[in-house]
Amino acid sequence: MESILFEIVPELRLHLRFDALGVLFSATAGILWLLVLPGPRRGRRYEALLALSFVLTLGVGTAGNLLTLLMFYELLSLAAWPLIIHDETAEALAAGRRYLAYVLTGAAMLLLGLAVVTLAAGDVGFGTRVEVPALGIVLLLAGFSVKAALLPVHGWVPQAHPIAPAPISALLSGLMVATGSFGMIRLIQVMDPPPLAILTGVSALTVVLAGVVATRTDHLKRRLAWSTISQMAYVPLAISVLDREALAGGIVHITHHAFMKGGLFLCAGLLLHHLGIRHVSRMGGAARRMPWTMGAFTLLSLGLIGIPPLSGFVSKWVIGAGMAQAGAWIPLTVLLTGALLAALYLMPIVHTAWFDPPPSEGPQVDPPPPTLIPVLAAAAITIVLGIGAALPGFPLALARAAARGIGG
Amino acid sequence: MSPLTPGSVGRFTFTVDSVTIHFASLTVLIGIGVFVFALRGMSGPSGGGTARAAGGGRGGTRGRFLLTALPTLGAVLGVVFAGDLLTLFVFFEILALLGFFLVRQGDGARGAAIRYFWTMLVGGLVLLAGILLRGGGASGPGSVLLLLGFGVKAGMLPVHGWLPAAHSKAPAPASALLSGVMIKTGIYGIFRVLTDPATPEMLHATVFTLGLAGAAYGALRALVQSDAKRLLAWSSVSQVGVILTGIGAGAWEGSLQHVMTHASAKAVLFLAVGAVALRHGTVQLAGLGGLWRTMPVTFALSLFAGLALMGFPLLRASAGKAEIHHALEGVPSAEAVFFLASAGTVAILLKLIAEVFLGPARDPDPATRASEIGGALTALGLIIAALPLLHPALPTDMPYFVATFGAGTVLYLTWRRWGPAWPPVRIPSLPSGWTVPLPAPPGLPALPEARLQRAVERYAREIAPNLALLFVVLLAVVFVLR
Repeated sequence: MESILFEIVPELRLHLRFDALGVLFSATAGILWLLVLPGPRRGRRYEALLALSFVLTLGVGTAGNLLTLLMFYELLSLAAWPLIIHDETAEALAAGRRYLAYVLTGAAMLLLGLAVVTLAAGDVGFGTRVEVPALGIVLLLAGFSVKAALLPVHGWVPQAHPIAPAPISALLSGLMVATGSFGMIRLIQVMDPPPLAILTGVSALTVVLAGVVATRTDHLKRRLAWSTISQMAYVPLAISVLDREALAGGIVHITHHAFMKGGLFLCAGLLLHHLGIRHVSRMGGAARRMPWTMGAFTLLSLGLIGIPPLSGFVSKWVIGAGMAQAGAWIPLTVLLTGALLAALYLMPIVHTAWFDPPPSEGPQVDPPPPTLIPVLAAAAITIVLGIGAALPGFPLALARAAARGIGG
Repeated sequence: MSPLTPGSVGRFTFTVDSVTIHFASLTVLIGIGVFVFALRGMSGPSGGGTARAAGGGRGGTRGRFLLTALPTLGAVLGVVFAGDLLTLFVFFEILALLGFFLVRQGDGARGAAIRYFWTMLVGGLVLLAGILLRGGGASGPGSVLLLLGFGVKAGMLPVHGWLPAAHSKAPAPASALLSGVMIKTGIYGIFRVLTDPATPEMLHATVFTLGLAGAAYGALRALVQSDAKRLLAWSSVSQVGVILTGIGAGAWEGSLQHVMTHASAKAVLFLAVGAVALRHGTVQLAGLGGLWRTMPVTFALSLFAGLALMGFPLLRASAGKAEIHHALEGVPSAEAVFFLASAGTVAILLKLIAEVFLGPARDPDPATRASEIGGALTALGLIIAALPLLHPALPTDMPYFVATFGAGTVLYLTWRRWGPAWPPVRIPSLPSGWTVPLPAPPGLPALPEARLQRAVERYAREIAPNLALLFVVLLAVVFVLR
């Protein structure tokens, strides 16, 4: 289903489109936004921009041509900036500047790519395949990879994620990074890509290196941010295999990862707010103080590692099955290494929280229901999406439909 | 439907055939025995893991154990009844997680539990890779990875390292579950892979060789242990080796019989050691002796289970071992190694039973002698776990049994005379300050010198002699088989 929103000049129009891929992305955004809404009020600017970013994310999900996609995509980048620097500490402002530098560089490449592509093929709608020069695709892929946080243009993630308020970190990790991957999938949908060996190499390196860095990071939210870089590189890795099943896995991984990582960041926020814990090394006994929160954290961690039957396992399995079918052994190895690394940086947190003695005893301080329910909901979603993966209308079915539409 | 179809995500399929029934029935029977035992056998002052109960936690040790053990049995049944590899993998991973909690409940089990967890995690990833490869059409490499993944769980030779640590540190009923039931899921997997026609022929020989080496190596390592639970754990490595030898040699019926024998006998022995620890507060052989007077039922059942494991010809259990043995006939070198393993098993069990139940009585410290009330229930648990062994049969293979028994006795007596001096070469303690502090890699903290020194000494004292022994056994097996 398509509708033309607005025609700037002939040939350049804003254009909405509803297909399986966009619907899945938008639905993910809608539910994740619901999860981050509860919590302390943070002022009018915050609330307004939070709502605006939601609309813009929906815009990214439902854009019907490249121009519309890029418009919403860039507006979202800008709308997120005041949210990231919400606390306005010197550190936050510095992280904000860095964030802007990165996303604007990406924007410049995207604009250039858009120009090249439009000159060659006119209006690029997502319904029909077009022939475009390789330069255009490369520029667009490079531009998207800034948001997708591929090495070496990942630098904004470990800065911006830890500094932003927890709900914003959850959104950044869950969806902002995903918009980059989403853009790449849209490109593959309509353009014949050049050989993607470089993308394979870059995303494989990202999975492994970011995972290694995450194991060496003590700051909890920063560790989760590195984990996002590592885990979200699964998506370009899956794209680069050019197999329909792997692509479906990549698409569904966006959704699964959004809930798992969003939930983890919300847990990290609760730990900071109620126990003042910022660092993994200080988490001894945290589970005795906040059993429900850490219970959700544990479950989400297991999901992210890919312990069946949780949702992270489903995406890993589908991507892996696609890679095995395509005979892509190296990406498959990288995929499993990424899972091992995820265990290496998440399980010590869980073990410390449950089994190590606390630095100081204290009463149980699990948060009140309004902020506890979202993390429990994220954990529940992880279970439901894992066990019910095969049900019609669930993310996996939508992702498979989307991948069928893309071919491969 | 073969349990080796890859399966599709979100769909769980299950299958039943004679093999699944065999594994499921032993799981359930031993599970019941362990549960009955745990009703009393976990609440004593030093029954393994009870010190942690003081640290808090509702339900105490027993509650926590039962809470973990019940889903564990469920997951084992899930693995066994799985109709495709994906379903199997799901339960396999759940089992690995639950196993961590089972092991973690023991006293001082932190290190063993963490080691167990990482080994199982990596094993699980290897298994997953194998499943995906088989699904992708690469049957050969896929089968290799499947065998490796299942081998980790079973305690197959090169990847057995977690087993003695975890089985000896876990609380006794948990050890009985681990050795009796959980490692059998790995054997189940290997059995399925090797009975599949798509598996390359070469892998049969590989499993056979590794099994034979494990049988001999595990027996030798078990013989030199001074901790009863560690001895039993190494004996598990050995017995898994025997079973794998049988599977690799094509003696499938006999292997399945021996799976049942080992599961039941080892569960009984672990529970018996647990009952001893409950009364005497120790599992060190040096601190025990003469218990047949005070614990006659435990003694009788241990003797019975021990004889079954040795292959005593009047029990049905012997038939399995006999079939494995017959499958080796014609390969004298393999027979020799197998004979060594069998004699080793006899020596191990003689050692255990003699040093715990016979000899001069060492009366326990009255302070720890609190929990005789549990006697009836713990004994009942032992009896239930021993039920699969109660099946008389015609004497078969009597000369072989007499030969192994004789050799085993000699081996045991030899060990009693000279064994405590193992390893034969004493390594003098290294002078402090000899290590060269290596520059730390960027981003990593430098290793403290004391830790480095400890690591090197540990390597020289424990790891190197055992590696040498392992190497010799492997070399022997590989050479004689050619």
